[in-house]
Amino acid sequence: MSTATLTATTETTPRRKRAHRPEARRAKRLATAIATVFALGWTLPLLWTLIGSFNAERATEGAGFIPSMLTSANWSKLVQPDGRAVNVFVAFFNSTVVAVCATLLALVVCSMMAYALAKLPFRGSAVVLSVIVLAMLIPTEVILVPLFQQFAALGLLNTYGALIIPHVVSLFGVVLLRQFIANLPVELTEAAKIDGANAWQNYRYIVLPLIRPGLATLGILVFLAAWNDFLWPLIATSTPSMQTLPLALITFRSAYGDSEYGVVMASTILAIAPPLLVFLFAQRFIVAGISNTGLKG
Amino acid sequence: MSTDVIEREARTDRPRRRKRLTRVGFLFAAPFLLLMLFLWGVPIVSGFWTSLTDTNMAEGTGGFVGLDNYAHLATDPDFRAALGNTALFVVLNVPILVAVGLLLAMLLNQPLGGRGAIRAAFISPYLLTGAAVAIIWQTALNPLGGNLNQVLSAVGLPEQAWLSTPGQAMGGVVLITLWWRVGFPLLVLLAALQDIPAQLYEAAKIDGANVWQRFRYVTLPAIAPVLMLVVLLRLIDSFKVFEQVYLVTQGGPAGSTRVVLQMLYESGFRDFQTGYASAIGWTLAFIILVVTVLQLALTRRRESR
Repeated sequence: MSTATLTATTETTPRRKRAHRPEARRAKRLATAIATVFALGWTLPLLWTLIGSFNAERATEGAGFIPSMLTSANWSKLVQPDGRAVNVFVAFFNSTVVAVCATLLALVVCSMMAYALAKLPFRGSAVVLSVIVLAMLIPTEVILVPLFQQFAALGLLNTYGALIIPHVVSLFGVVLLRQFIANLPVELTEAAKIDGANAWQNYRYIVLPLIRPGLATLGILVFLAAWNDFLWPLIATSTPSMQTLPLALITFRSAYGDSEYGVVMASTILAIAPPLLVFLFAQRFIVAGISNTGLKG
Repeated sequence: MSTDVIEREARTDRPRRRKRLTRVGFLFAAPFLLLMLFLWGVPIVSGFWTSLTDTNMAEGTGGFVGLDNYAHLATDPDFRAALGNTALFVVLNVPILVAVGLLLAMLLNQPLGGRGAIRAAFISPYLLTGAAVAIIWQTALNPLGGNLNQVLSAVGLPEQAWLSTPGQAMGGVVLITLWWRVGFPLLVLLAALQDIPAQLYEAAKIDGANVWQRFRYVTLPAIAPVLMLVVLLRLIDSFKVFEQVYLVTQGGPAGSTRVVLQMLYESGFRDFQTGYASAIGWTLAFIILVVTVLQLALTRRRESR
């Protein structure tokens, strides 16, 4: 954007064009260099972790940036932790089930709610919307204890249900999608109604396809929240076979952290790879999602 | 705006049609409403009730004690220490995170080569689970041969004890949090910066404004509302600090990094003092609410001036 304006102004003053250009190019090169150095520094810890996962030396002490000996033994320990921790694939499977189910359910439940709020006002819907906005101010951590008691009373602890259900209700998601649906041109939603479509058909075949960017943004945010959650799974599960990856990481740390830190590094890489891959392929939606969080208020 | 439209539609519609719409809308809303009742409504009420009892999950007791838990909190030295540590974290973390986020956003707002890749480098830690962040940094900050100390000694600086001395531990936690969370202020502020029309800068330049003046009188006023919002969201988030502390320092050394949420977790799920833990939760919520209201009032006053 600013390069465009720069060329626009230099065009109006052709005399200064030659003097300005190399200067601008030098400024750009300098800014790029500074930003690149910072960016590389920022990724250094991730790089250390990746290298560490192949490091044959057993402890952190004396392990240099570049290990003197490389090995894949750390990675095979993840599958056969000799009873010291849960097989990492079990945790990976648990995390995948939880994150995928939570994402799909959240998309359905939140988009239906948003559709009702935007297009089908019901008795008390205005009140419901203000309650949702107000509830966003209450930190989830505050209701941790009663929520645990509730799940315990229903016998849902140590089940996928306990890990999935809290992520299905996204207050932010409803506000986001309601905005998307409210901004849809009335002609589109009304046209289908004139053609005799009922509310469900209207929602399923007109509205949902039109708000795909909003759904993608919400879906990614829910997936990341469910995949990365630590405190709730820590409370809601006690059996090792129900551990999600963040919990398994900590188990691996206490089992191997002192003697073979390479195993811990390998498990960490496994846990952070899916979110980073999602980021790689859906950067646009993640950026939109995070930027929206800031602008919603 | 959109609610106005809805109301107008509802008013002009014939009564019979409105009634039908009402019921269908409720059906669409029902799954969310039921879940919200289960996950928010009931726990909020029952949690407040529990905070007025001496419920203990291990002993199975639970009688009404009025505000005793809150009175006990006010004099509990553990809680005071945890609150002090949390406040110290908030005071250090919020300005550093927002300032670095703004600086990086301004850097990324310049004409750059490979901007996408550079932006990705700063955001990627934001996507990681706190458990991974804790492990990565605990290893890097290991006082004995950790990578960061190797960097320091390589450039001739003295090695640091990092997380193992009470004086430095909170600083270490703030550094870790900066690395982990800077993507949020960066992205939000970058979006705000990109919305500033370039003509404003051109005009300021023609008027002879220098770099600082352009920042002070063009950039800052333009992004002020978003900046205030970022500060508010970071404030709320910082009061709820838990994972990077609990998993990196376990609240130590000597309790110097034990925060409110860790105390809530330990009294509720290790000592099973459910009533007391609920009171801690409500106190934290109250503090966050007060800070939110204060911050919003401050923003509004500044805007009206």
